[in-house]
Amino acid sequence: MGSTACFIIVSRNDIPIYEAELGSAIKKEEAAHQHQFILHAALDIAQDLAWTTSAMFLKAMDRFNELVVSVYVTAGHTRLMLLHDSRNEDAIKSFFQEVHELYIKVQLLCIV
Amino acid sequence: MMEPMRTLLGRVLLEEITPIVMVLSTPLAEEACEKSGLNFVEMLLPFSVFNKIDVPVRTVSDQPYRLQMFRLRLVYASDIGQQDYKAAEDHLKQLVSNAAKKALSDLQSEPPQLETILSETELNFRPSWIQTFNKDMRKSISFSEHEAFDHPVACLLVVSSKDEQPINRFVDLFNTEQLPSLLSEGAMDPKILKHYLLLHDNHYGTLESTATGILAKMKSTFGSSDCGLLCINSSPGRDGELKDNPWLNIKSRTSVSQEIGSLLNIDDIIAIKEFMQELSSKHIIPYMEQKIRFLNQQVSATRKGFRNQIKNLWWRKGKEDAPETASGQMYTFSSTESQIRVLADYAFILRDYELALSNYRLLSTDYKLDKAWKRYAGVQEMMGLAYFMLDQSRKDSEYCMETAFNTYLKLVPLGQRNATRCGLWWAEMLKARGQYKEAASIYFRISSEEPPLHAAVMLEQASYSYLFSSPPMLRKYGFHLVLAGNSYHVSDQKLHALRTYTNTLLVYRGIPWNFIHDHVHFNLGRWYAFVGIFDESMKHMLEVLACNHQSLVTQDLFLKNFFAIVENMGKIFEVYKLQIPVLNMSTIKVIYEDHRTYASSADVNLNENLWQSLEDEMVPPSSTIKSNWLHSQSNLSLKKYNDSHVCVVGEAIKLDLEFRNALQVPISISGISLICDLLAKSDDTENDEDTSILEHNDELKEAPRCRRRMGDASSLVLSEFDLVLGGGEAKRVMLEATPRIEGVLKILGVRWKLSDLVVGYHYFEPNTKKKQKRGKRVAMNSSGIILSFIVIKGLPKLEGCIKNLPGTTFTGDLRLLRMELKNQSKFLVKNMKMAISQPRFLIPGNLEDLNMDFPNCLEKQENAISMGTSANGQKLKNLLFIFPNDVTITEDTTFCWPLWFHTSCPGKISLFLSIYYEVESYSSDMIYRTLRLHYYVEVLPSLDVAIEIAPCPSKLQEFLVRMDIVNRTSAESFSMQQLSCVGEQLEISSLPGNETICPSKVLQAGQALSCFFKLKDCSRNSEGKTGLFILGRDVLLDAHGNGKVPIDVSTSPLMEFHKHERYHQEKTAEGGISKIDFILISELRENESTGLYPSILSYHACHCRVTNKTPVWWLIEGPRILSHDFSASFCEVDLGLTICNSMKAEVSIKVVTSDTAPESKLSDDVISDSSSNSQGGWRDISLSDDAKSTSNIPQVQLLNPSSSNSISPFIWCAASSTEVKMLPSSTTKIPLRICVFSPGTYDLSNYELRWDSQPSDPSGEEDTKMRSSGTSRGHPFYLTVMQSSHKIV
Repeated sequence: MGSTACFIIVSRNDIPIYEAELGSAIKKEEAAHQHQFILHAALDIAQDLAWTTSAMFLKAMDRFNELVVSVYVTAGHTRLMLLHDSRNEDAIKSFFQEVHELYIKVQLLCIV
Repeated sequence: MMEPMRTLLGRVLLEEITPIVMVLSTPLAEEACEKSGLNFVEMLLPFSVFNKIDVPVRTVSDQPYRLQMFRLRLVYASDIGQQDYKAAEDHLKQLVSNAAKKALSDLQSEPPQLETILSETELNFRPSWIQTFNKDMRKSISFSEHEAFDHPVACLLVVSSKDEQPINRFVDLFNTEQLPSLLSEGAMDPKILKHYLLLHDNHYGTLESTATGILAKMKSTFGSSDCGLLCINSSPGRDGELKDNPWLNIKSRTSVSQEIGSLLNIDDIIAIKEFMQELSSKHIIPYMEQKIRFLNQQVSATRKGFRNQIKNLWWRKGKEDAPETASGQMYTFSSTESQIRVLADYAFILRDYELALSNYRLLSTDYKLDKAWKRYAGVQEMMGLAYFMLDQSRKDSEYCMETAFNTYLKLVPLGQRNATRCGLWWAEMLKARGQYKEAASIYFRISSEEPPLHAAVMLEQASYSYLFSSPPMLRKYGFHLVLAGNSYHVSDQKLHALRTYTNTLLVYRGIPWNFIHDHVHFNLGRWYAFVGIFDESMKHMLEVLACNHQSLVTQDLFLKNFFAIVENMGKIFEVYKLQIPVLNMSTIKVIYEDHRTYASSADVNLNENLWQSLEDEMVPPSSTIKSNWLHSQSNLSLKKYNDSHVCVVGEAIKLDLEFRNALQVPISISGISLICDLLAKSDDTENDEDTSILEHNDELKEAPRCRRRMGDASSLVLSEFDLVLGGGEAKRVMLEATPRIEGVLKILGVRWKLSDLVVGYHYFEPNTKKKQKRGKRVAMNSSGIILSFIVIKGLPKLEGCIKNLPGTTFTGDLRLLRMELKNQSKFLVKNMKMAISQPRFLIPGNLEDLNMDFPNCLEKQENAISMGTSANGQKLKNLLFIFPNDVTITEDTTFCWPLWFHTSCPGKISLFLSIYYEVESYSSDMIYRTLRLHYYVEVLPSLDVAIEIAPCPSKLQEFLVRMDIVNRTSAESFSMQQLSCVGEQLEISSLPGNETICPSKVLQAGQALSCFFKLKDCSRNSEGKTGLFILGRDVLLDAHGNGKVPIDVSTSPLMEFHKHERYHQEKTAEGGISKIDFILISELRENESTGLYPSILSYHACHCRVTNKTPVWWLIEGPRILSHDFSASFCEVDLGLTICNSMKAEVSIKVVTSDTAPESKLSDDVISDSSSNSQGGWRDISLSDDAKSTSNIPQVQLLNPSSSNSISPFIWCAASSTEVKMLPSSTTKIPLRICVFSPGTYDLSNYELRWDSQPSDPSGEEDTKMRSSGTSRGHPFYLTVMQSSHKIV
């Protein structure tokens, strides 16, 4: 049994701008749309939650069966969303921070 | 503050937690009811609900309160008891299936907008059957032994007056073995309130006869208060129609034709109503009050108070090790726990929630200690509800519900359905308090415990909860609807699945989350097809066709389903903007020909400006053209077509478009063709045009099928293409439309057929306008929608090409090319002109050249005459060549004309040719056409030639020429043929000793060679002549070329090319224009590996200059050897000093002679010395230096008479210093004289030349750079004077 993870970057206007199926679990046909459904629905929760806390990292803020959604909301309200079944908060947090840093770099490059 | 009673949950509780009246009836009593199409319970049902009963109730407290709404549940004894699980399941399934029919009709209607949805309440929005479903689901677990509120409070025994021995029947009824298990197994007290009812059917005689007698007997037997008589069927016949038939709503499931309650008249209804009222208010409620009071007393006695509690605890502790029995069989009705439960439930029913709650609390600790979990959960559940009804602590109520829910869940499967009921209540409770989000999660939790169908209903409810939460959580709504839809689909409820998925479109329509989008639309498409609504199905299927992000399997699945649906529809389906294949609109190119025609379609993409500048002088000005051919078309409303383009009847308009298959699945496309509109010239009227242009926007939405308005197919020919695109493949297709009549042609779009099933079409839209401008010939109407063309009658087209033009060649290559023009029409082509963009590389030849043998024709003819200067001053940028007047092309012939081609520099050469022609005796809207040809030639470097000319130290008119050649190719070898000098009467000859350096004169790849030649200026007085004469003298370089005739460089084409070279090299020449040019002719050796055949190459080195170290150079002329009789006198020798000023400035020269010997230092020359020592390498050591050093060094050593004796053996006569002024580039001669006193050899180098140049422009006097001066020592000149011997003789 491998771990499942799906990472999506959602832009401010709710458009997915990056998608990656991560994890070692065997890919199932329906997994792709299922993951999108879960993450898309989790946006509702993230929207509620983002304004209640000053933290960017919203850990395990939504779940669907065994799958947990963690979200990192950037200042520009871009959301880095990770769907995962393992519970390694610190690793996920540092992953998000790293991605955020890269994301900013890429954006700056685009401006230049 | 909300009012719990008014909430949905409150109403449900008031309806469902009500006293049960167990009904036992005889068959005859039932038969009497059956006449009206009802059974007994159904007959009483409408009257078991009392909205305003207004009964005073007093439970344990002294203060009575009044009950307003009350309700009884009448149930047959046989129905009391837990429903069979399977039966309950079937019932629920039936319920859902029935609702599906409604779902289908809902699908047809327009989906509501979000705003209208949100303005509604959740209860109204969600389908009403769900409420029923919830109720029936709860009902399926009623009559559980652990809950007392479902236990019958009273028993109604019904016997018909027709029954024999009715009294005995009453006794029998209750004593049968068919009593529910609750009673028989001791879960509840069998001694319940009994009410005896005698049912009299009025059809069997009036009341008095028998019924009253029986009633009296009953009263004496069972007690007067507990007996009653009810008369029914008072209506004489079936004709009596009841107003407001109260049974209509109840038995809607059976057909109305059975005339429900038709035998019951208004008297009967009143009687029943009264009976029910009495039963509840006079019997049941008082009985319950009494029981509550009694039980409360008992509980207080045994459980209340400190002593009792200790005792209870002590007692329970002892039972700790008792086995856990979930069913809790250990509690009989007589146990204290059961009694407390009955007390609490009765209190709940009579709405004394405080009393109920305190007892539930008491009970819950007991059950918890006893580990009777199901009972514990049941009590917790009721506590939660009691809290809710009291509207007290939200937290407590939720906590209780959660405990109950979780406890039930632990008891799976026994408590699973109970958990569901608990969850439903919990969710309702949350919703009542506005906590929709939490409610949704409860529904979701329930769904995970239930079978798929139930789960689906629960998920649907969860979705509605999300929708109505504040703010609405639409994405959650959508997701849960999808989950519900999936569950419906799994449990074979396609219509419900379809309904839920359709609702999700509110959220998911046009969503950029591609997998979600595909999933929703694909399933909708599939299911619509399943229920037979194919057009809807198609709509959704089309949405998922561009699924290139999906895996191959999925793509295949989507396509197969799509085609299956199309096949099912049984007709050709036309789809606007079909997504497969993808049309790459940015690459669209339109190729058409008006008066400009092209040799190949690739030429069309070139910049129009280049062509226009080329044709500038050749074609008549455009304004006159237009007036010539467009004015004749006065019947065409031309103003409208100002932006239109012109094309010619019978000539195809080509449209180049890329089709790309974004999928991994191969697709086959057939019948790709353009959608065009051709309006014939004749039926073209103003009105027609106006409307049609206005209509375009609407028309474009139509399928192309409807658009074929020109009936005559022969007037327009469209090409059709079939192709198969593999996965991810892109192909370009050249589509053609050929108009056959004059008029206006509009290209609107393109259509194709996918897998022979679906027709896709695409109209060209204005937003492609910007991109289309990339190609110059791409036409776009100003309206931006349509490519429109005016079709006119044009001239026949000339086709042409240049034969044997190499694609790749070497620098210097000289060739004779043939241009072939083909006239396929029946008319004569005349007045031909040709414009060539790069005459440096390509020039037209003479017709005679065609018959000549290349390269022999270049060879020197005996009677060759040099070309005049006729072409001098010709514009050298573009070349306009007018064919001789007699050159025409007759019908169906091919005309050839020679072209000379010479590549003078490496790189990519782009050659533009445009040929202008007119056609004789042909009526047309055009007067001329042009044929445009374009070629690219890749020129590789071959030989690099560098020429350096140095003055000969001994002769003024002779120069040393060094030619350095480097072979830059990697594999080719060249043989040197000839070096010709082009200049003013120059003569070149090889140095005698030089031939041995490279005898074969073949230069291998990478090899370098230097050759030396002597150049002689034959004309002394050439100044003032401006014309360029070629009096070339040639040197044959090929040692083995015996008998080879040198090539004549003074004739065309070499001379022509040379002139162009001169013009081009002028810009790069360092020292400005000079008149010395060289032409090197070599031959490419045959190379078998590269397959190159020998060819002539010519290199032109122009504007070569004599390189001088000093601006002034001179030469002493005079006798070298003299005989003189010194005995007679000293010897006087006359010498001449010729000075040349090669500067561009006037110079004053002073010749200073000195009689002392020259100093040992060679020269203090300012200019020359600085350069000679610092430079290295063989190339840059100049000839003059060599000459100087070889001549100087031995002579200084050998003959330096002046070094030993200070007195010179000769003296300079005449003036010791002569000054002359010289004009720029002039020569002057100064006479010198010496006196020699004795025989010997003298070095006459002891003089100096001092020169000082003055700038020719007096204004630039201050500029020191312009001013130069210097001193040069004299060159050695040896004079030998011998003693004359004739004196001796």
